[in-house]
Amino acid sequence: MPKNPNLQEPRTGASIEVDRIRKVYGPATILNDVSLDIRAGEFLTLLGASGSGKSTLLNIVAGFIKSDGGDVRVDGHSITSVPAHKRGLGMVFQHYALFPHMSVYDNVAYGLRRHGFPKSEIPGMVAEALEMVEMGHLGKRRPAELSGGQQQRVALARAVVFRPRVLLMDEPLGALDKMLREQLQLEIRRLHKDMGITFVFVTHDQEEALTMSDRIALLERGDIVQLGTPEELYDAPSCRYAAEFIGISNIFAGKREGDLFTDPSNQAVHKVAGGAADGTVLMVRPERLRVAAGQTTPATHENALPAVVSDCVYLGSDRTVHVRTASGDELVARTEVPRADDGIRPGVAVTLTWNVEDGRVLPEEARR
Amino acid sequence: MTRILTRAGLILLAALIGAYILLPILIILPMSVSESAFLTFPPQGFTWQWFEELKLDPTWLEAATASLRVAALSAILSVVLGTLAALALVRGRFPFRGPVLMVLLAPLIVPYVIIGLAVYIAFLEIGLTETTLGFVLVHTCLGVPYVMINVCAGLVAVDRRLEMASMNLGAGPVSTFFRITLPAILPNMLAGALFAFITSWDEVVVAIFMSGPTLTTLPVKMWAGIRVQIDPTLAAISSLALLVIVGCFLIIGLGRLVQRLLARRSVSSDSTGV
Repeated sequence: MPKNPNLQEPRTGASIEVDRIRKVYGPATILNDVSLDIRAGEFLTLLGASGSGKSTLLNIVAGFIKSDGGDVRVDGHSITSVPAHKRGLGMVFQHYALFPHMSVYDNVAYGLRRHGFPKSEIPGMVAEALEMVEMGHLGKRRPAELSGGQQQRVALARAVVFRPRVLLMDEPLGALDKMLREQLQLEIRRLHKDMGITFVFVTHDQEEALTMSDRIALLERGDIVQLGTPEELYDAPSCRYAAEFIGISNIFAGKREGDLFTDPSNQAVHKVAGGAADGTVLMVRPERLRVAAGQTTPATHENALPAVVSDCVYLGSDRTVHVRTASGDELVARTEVPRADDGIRPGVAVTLTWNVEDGRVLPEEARR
Repeated sequence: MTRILTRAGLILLAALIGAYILLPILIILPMSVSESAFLTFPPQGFTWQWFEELKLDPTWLEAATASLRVAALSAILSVVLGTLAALALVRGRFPFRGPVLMVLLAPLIVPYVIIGLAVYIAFLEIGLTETTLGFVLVHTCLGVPYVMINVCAGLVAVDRRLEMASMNLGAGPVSTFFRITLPAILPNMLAGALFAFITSWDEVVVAIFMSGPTLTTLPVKMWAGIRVQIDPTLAAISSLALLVIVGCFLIIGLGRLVQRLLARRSVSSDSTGV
């Protein structure tokens, strides 16, 4: 039996509590008292632009960076003073970090040997892990003789072979091309389902985050601006930054009074329902906008805004219509490709309409 | 056409520079088998006589083994100390890093004659002149900078994520160093060791101060010899000294070749996997 109690049966996911973690480099605050409860067995993604602190947070959990305050607990036990090599958390690194002087087999066996698994069990466990990522036939290769996708699979096998209860992943798919990335996204999701352990995934790619996660923590400059399911982040962003970071959004700035939102730049008053009572931003997703040539009168549950088409982009399954309002706001609508020509082409005057409940009023800044 | 000319020109230039560097050394080889009783060029006839004479005088062998012993020991010590110094400089966080680096590099800059004099005065006090330990201590001092420079260059190129991955997989800092970092910087350590060995092997200035009837290194004995005897025995011993250095490079070159061949074999023999 391995020495680390985290690696012994039963092998279920562990919960992670990040409690007011703080990290400062000189005058720059990288993490501003970040708290986050990661549930046992969930797939949580730390999403953010570069410099948001997402990788720093992951490295603090892994034990490679010392925090300047706060605590990290795994299943209620503080690991802040436990050195990285005794934490027993699996990790997949950026650019894989496979040991170049060892074969694939030895790379995967490394963790088992260091964690003190019995010698007789190692070959079977390595074979099983490599089989799981469909790399069983390449055990004798050196990492340099593998493609990027194959290296990524080996890195995954190496990180999970010793059956950790948590798997940390730092932008693991960043270096791969789009097709391979999408394929591996599905495989990682399948691995998550099969193993039932906690996955903490770091990425700057919002689409990847939406595809893979149970929950997403969106970070901006050292703060979590929103924590929620992919649906919550897309449909009910917590602030303007969240709305703009996830997906594409049309944003009107203005002021809300009751169920009316005054948009001074377009000299328009939009009806709204729900959302933040004191919000200053109205967001409408492109697929919620309808575009019709000429003037149309809105129904009672609709808002309308005149605009001129500046560009139409055909995407196969649907199209995006880029429009400009009289005040110069650039908006984008995503609609199905019509069966018959609907007369929408660059230069045509159109009316945008959307249902009142599809407009969402947000605060400029997230409440912290 | 211009490309071919440029290329030919470059090859010619490289050959000329190579000849300029090597010819004076290579001249010694034919002189060592010359039948003439004096050091002359061009050589006349062919004989192994001067090599035979080396065997008759046991002091040559004594000096050569002393030199080999000193060079090997100081190379080993230089590798250990130089690698530790490089680790501290590249990875460590401590004050006065700049001054520490300057002190460690000083043996490259300070004239050997000054080092020799200073060490002679100090070692005379404590009885370390004419001893292997004394020689090894001084030559290690001269060898450390070479190892340190080489290993620093290697360490900077090591991907820190490899070490992080090793720790994440349960290996402590010491285990990680020996299993991950050391294999990565081994070529730099060997190159540094070679430099340190050669530095000691042909070091004459400091060694003159340190030598005496009890212990004399080969370069010092040669330098002393040229003043009393001018027969080709010296050319013969020079050839042998040169052979040691060529041998060092050959061993390293062969090692690399074998390594490369083994790596290639591991690819072609791959079939069944685990």
